[in-house]
Amino acid sequence: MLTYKTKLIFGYKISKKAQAEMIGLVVIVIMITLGMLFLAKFALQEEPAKKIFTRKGLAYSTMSAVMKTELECIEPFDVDTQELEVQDILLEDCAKYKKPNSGGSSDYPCNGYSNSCDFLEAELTELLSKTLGVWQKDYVFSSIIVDGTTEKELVLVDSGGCGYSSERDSSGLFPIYVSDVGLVESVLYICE
Amino acid sequence: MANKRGQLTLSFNWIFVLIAGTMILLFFVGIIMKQKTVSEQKLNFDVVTVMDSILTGSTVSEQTINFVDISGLSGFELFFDCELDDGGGYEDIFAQYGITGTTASSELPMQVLFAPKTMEGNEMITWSLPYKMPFKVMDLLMVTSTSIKYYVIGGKGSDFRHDLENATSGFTIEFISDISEISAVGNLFHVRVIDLDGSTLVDGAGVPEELANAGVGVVTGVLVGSTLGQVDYFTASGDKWNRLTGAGSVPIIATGLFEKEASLYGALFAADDEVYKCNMMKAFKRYSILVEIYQNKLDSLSAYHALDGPGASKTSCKGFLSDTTGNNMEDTLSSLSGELSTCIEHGYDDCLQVEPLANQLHELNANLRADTCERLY
Amino acid sequence: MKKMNKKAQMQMLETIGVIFIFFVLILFGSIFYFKFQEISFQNKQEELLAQSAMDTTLVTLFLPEIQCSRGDSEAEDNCIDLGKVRALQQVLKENPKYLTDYYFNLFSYANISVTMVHPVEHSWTIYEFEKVGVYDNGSEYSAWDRKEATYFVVTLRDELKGIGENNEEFYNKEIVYGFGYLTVEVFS
Repeated sequence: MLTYKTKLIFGYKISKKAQAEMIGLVVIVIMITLGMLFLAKFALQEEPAKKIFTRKGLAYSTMSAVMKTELECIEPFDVDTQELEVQDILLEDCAKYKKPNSGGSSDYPCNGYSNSCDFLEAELTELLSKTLGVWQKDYVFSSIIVDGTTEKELVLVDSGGCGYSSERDSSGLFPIYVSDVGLVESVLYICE
Repeated sequence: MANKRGQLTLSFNWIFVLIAGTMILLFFVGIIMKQKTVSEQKLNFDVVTVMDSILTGSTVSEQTINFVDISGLSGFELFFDCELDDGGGYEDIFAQYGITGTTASSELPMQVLFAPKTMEGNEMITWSLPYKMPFKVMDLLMVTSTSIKYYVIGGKGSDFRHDLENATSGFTIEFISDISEISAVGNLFHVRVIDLDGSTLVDGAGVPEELANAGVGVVTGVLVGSTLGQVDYFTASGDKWNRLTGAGSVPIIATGLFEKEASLYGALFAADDEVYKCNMMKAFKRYSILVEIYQNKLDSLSAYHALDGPGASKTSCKGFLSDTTGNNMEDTLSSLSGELSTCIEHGYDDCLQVEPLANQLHELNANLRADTCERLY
Repeated sequence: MKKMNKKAQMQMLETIGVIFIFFVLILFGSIFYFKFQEISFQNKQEELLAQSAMDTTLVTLFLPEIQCSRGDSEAEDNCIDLGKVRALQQVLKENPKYLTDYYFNLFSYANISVTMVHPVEHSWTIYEFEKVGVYDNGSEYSAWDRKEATYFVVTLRDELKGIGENNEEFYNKEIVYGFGYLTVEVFS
């Protein structure tokens, strides 16, 4: 007696139950593939535009603000305070102080620091930690003298963590030319 | 006797399959049609959202010309609208832009945008200039497209023509000496003739043959007065120029102190006088708020330089700020505030007096600077 | 007696069974699709909010009401004039209508403030318009779903060196250029 869905081909009984089984498997494979595709879509999304925009913009605006800021300086044995701009006065003085063969004297040994470079580093550390640090950004502020192929570090403020990060944006170079010293380049990197 | 049960089963099966199959098909077709409509609406909305960001970004990048690739929008026509109701004041403005023939649009209650009524093309050009009266009021944005051609005729050797030539690199603009240099409309979406010496745009005069009988609104013109103090708008009706500013020329309200007066350049790109005045009313509203802010700042400066204030030693400063002998910042700002209130309430034609007051303010601020006083702006 | 054959009935059950399974699969597909749409929609909302945050921040940074001016020259970048900030606060306090009728069109639901870090710590709120709802008893509640905050470090210029309105002193240093940040929070 012929069973359901069997037929005779060349005298042999052929059953189509396996074909039906295959269709079921195919449907399941298709569903799993679709599911994986959707998962991949969400997992491989690129970094949101906003994140990149704010990090780049933040690096530039922070650097710009830092350079224009006036810091209060109280020199030893002096009652009066001076208001000194970071870029035009303090950084310049620091460059002259750290320049090779400069004789090692700084015009602005402020607030107990022996030279303007240490004072700048301390103040910038505080300013950046109260802003970028609070927002949990990692950063590196660096100011160097560029003399031909040699570079000499003037100020370095490093929150740590930037070295391991692949996502980082730069403020761009903020160069100043200091007479008798050369080119001083400052830059701020912000990392996630 | 033959059994007919099988025939019945077979017919029933086919009928059942047909009905069920059709219902399922209709169900899915319905879903697809619905999704198509939703998708189109979503796309239109996305276009307007992206345009919002582009226009915001372009506005803040002042003095910069941006070329935006809109080839993805080919087939879409953008419209820019600014209407003034009968009153003509700020409260009577309705401004928006969007995609023609769809519900995708965005209102522009504050942003000043000089653009043609409609626009299509592969590349959109945005140019932002600060409107200073004499302090910066806001950025005025000009929007056009590479498919809109500008012919500038007349004013050869003038500073304005020279500045315009230098500033509009990348625009579809041609600086010509003679009307015969104008070529046919062809594939251009719009043609605008900018007449700097009054030789071409005359009410009732003939439109160049190449431009005659183009579609309605395709060919327009702006006549700039010799002193750059007023403009007239024209449109080509058939083969004749038709002056739109029937009530009189549109005065340009600017201090004349700056190389690129935003209000003048904006007039070159505005669709017509109504669009121009409508947008300028938005600028004057902003101006009135800024004047209030500066009045407040002035109060602080005056208190600072008062006899018992920390800045009392700089006696000349007080004089420029609020001296009772007249021609001081306080009185000027107060007059300006009054004129702007009238302007905002009654319309553009009542805004002309702000110009001399703005110039006065500029002079007073310069005096403050000369005397090493704190400037108002 | 005729032997009853139930083949047709079996056939019918099988057809119904197949259609039933088919609709179950359709149902699973629909659930999956609508869930995907929901997640897509939420992503879109977040994207729009981020875009709104960027746009509002840009507009605020270049707002003539607070931007540092330099006479006829171009305005100073990334600089906020504290004199104008205080004046703006006063103008908005005297004219609350400006907030609802004018600046709301610019900033929508947002909180914008300027915070000074150096030489002293102080904060000024320029614009405050949180999305709130009102209960039947009249009390308010926050009606926003998402909030996106953006921070920008800026220079704070105060030509009166810490002397505010009515000559009150909020810092006693001769500093014109201070350091601080702008906070822009947008709500959806």
